Amino acid sequence: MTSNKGIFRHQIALGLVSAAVIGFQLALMWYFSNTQWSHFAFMVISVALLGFGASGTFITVCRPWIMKHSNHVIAGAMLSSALFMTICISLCQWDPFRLDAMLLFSHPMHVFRLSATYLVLFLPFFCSGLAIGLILITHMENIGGFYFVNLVGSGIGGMGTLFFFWIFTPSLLPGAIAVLPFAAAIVFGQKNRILHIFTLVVFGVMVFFFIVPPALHVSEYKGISKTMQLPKARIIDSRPTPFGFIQVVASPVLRHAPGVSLQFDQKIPRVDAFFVNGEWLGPVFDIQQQRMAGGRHILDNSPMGLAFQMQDPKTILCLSSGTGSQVSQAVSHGPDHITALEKNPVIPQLMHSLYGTGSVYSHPKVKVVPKDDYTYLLSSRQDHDLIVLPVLDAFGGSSGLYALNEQYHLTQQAFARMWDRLSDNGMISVAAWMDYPVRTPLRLVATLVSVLESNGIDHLENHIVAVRSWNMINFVVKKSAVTPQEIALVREFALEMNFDPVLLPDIGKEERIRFNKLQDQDFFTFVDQLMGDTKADFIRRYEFNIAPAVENKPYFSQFLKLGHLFHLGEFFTAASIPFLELGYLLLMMTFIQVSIFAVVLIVLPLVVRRWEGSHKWWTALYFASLGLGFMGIEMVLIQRFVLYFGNPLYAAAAVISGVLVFSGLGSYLSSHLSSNRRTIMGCLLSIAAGAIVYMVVLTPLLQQTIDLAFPVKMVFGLVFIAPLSLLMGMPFPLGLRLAQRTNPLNISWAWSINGCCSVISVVLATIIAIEFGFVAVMAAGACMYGTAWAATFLMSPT
Amino acid sequence: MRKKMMLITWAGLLLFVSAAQGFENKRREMVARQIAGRDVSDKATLDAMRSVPRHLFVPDSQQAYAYHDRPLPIGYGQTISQPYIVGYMTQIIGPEKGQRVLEIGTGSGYQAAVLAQIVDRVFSIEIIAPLADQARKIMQQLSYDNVRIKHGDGYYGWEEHAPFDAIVVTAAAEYIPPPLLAQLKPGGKMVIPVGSPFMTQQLMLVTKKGDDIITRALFPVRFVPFTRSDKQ
Repeated sequence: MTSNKGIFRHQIALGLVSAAVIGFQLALMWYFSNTQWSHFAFMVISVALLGFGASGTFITVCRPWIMKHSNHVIAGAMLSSALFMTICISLCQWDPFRLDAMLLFSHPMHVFRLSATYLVLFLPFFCSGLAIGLILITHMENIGGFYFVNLVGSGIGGMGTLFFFWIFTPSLLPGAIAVLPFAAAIVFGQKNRILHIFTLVVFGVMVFFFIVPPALHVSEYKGISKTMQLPKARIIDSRPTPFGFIQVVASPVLRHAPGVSLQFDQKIPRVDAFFVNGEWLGPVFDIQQQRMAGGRHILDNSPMGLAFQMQDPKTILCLSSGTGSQVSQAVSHGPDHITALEKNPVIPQLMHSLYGTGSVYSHPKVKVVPKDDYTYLLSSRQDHDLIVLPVLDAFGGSSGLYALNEQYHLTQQAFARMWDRLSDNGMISVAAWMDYPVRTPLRLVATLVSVLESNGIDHLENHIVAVRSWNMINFVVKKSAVTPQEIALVREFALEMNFDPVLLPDIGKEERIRFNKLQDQDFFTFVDQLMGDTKADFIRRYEFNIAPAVENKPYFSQFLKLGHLFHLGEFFTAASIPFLELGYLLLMMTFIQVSIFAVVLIVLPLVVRRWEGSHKWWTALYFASLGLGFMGIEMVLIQRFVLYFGNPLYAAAAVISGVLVFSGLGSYLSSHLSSNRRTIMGCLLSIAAGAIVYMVVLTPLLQQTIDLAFPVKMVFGLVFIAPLSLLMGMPFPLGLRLAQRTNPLNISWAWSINGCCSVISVVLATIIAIEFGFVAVMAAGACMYGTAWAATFLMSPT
Repeated sequence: MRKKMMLITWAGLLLFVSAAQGFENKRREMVARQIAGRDVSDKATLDAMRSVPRHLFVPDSQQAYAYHDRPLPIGYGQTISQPYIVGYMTQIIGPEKGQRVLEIGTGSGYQAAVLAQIVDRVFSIEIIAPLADQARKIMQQLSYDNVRIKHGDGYYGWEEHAPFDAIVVTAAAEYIPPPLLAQLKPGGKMVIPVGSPFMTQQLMLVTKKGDDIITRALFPVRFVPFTRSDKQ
């Protein structure tokens, strides 16, 4: 029996390790997003997170020995966790292990390196899981309170790490977080000579890595690495922020002129460039030199100049303005007012501190709003003559690297709101890089057409204009019909720049390929089909998914149709598929890997121990359903609140900590409830019903209150989150108590099952969201709680 | 003792010769399957690719894959293009004796060497100093006297040797520098890839016709060229 003081110490230690696990996960995500790519980071970390589930399997398989030495194992696991968290980045960067995601599909050596990376990252999660699992198992009599500490610790860990993002660089943060499990081991305190020596060793390693931190080895194929190869390239500023690691690079040969006309014969301006997590964010144009010698802004010499050629807009809204290149273009046309939306407040601040009045955001006519585009569109009542979107996709195509990014500003609903916010002759201007096989421009046409149709426009061709250069296409959608004078101006612009009109009210076939010939005429046929009556049929038949993205499925850059995968393989050769839609395929690969590993980890104890104990089916079904359901519902809540707060950081912080803290409270309250079948079933039914109610009412309620003040929204949001989260914290400790009474051997197995299924859940929820939408994810979450409810029938009523 | 030495020398020589023959066989096979076996039929291009020892242009660790049908990393975030792309880009500019060609992005130097087999002069600019040095060394080693490599910014082209019959841009760019277009002869051709070498790439051909500049999207390529129109 542990004393009250002992219980308190164990709870503090538990809280510290729980905080460390969440913090470490976020830190790794940050690190790998910087050195590799975020989807790849998601895959690596998901697999490594199975270490948590593996700890449960390990306890189950070696239960007699572990339970006998539980306190030493807990302390040792905490110290090992601290050690592995400290050294894992250096190990991942060690030459034989150093991975480059870009070479994964072409160089077999990198498959080995990927496995090595999995193993290196698996260890800290395994050790932390072992410590947490054992503390919970050894305190089953007080599981509600301990699980409360576990959840609250995780919530604080998530919040705290967001704060650490302001201080530590990506390579330092994992090591900094290692202090938490180390402190936990000290607090947990075990009088054992070997553990004392181990403590000193770990301390020494931590101090060493604090003094000699690992370097940040970014993939040589990332934008920042390539830019740093330029002569005299240097990083003039860098800021770790929760929005990403920002770096500003200067080089005398760094220039920017996306899609500029081949007739442009002047000097292309030198720029500094901003990178976020090693990826290009945008250039900084000097506001003092916004017009070139020929009197035009550099971007006016690209297809992006189309809208300004047609009109002289007075009020302009720039979405996702980044470093303000399009804002600078807008300023050069002397409008009355420009609203620039940039949800990362650090970028305008940093630009102001680096460039002073040379920063476009310092211009008196520019107002910067630190909000998400879609949230702003939902809440704003201001009309604009021109709404400008950033260029879509990456130059040369992104090969699906952004497939999992939620891009609400590119949904049908967002374009509909933009349309509503246009003045009588207002325009929306959006450019896209030409890709092959063509996807982005086609999805854009499909979206614009659907918006026009929903606004009752019959003659679509009178409202959409597009011109194309050798590598870029720009669409302008106009609220009123395009005038003959504007048509003439478009033609004049195209001729002068050697661009080709793609959409104009009276366009001729030859006019479309006068200067920039395509391999075949398919692109124009496709565009015409989307503009005509065969739109729906064409979208259904096309090899890629080009249906408009919607708020429920805001994945504009996800083009892969799973059903067409094999057909695409035949069409483009199987070896090419990963390079067409890499992001979604990485997600599928992640799902397959975590599912296989999870099944092995769950089944292993049954095989190794030839386990014939009771209530196996209930344990498996009940805890798997909880693991799958909890994360699914949490993910939807985060997604909804990202929109609501207009800022992913606030949303993630508020929702993750809100859900975890309220769930923790629920867990604490559950210790006052009896863990019988009736209570558990009531609790599960309430969650399933609650999830269904949220599914229906959450979006309309949030949209109704979206223009409230931020603090009010924060309170409102937490009130929304509280009831369901409170309930969601109860079934796990109640189930463990029930397992304790029926077959205590099942407890560590339940821990393993729940850990593994939570990992599967995150990946699966993303796939469901892409294929069926967030509403379906919520429904699936409700179903999982329903399954847990049904599983409870396997228990006796008492 | 002397006999042993002789034996070792003979064995070493044998190994060297068989390795060189191995590469030559692979090169012939590469041209037959990957280049001529697809749609590159220009004799000069095929001959050039048969004679340039591609394996000497890649890092030692990559030599075993030098004749594989894919791009290879050469360090500094750069790649040596897939053999087929080199062949196609060479053919498309219509290289002939007497021509001078500008290459932007020397990289490994392989493309410049292939061009040097056909045209009179090749001028190549590389922005990454170690790559430029390495390429210069290998050109010297292989006695390509008609290739000049400069470390510098490709943006400005090579004014003193302009105009050029053709310009080969080996790295994708969001824009084509105006000085390059100015240094292209009337009727001259420029070829440029769009996209990342490890992902989907499309080749663009830029031609100067009077005051107009005409572009043509060629077929998209990756490890294996897409044969979209053939299969439709």
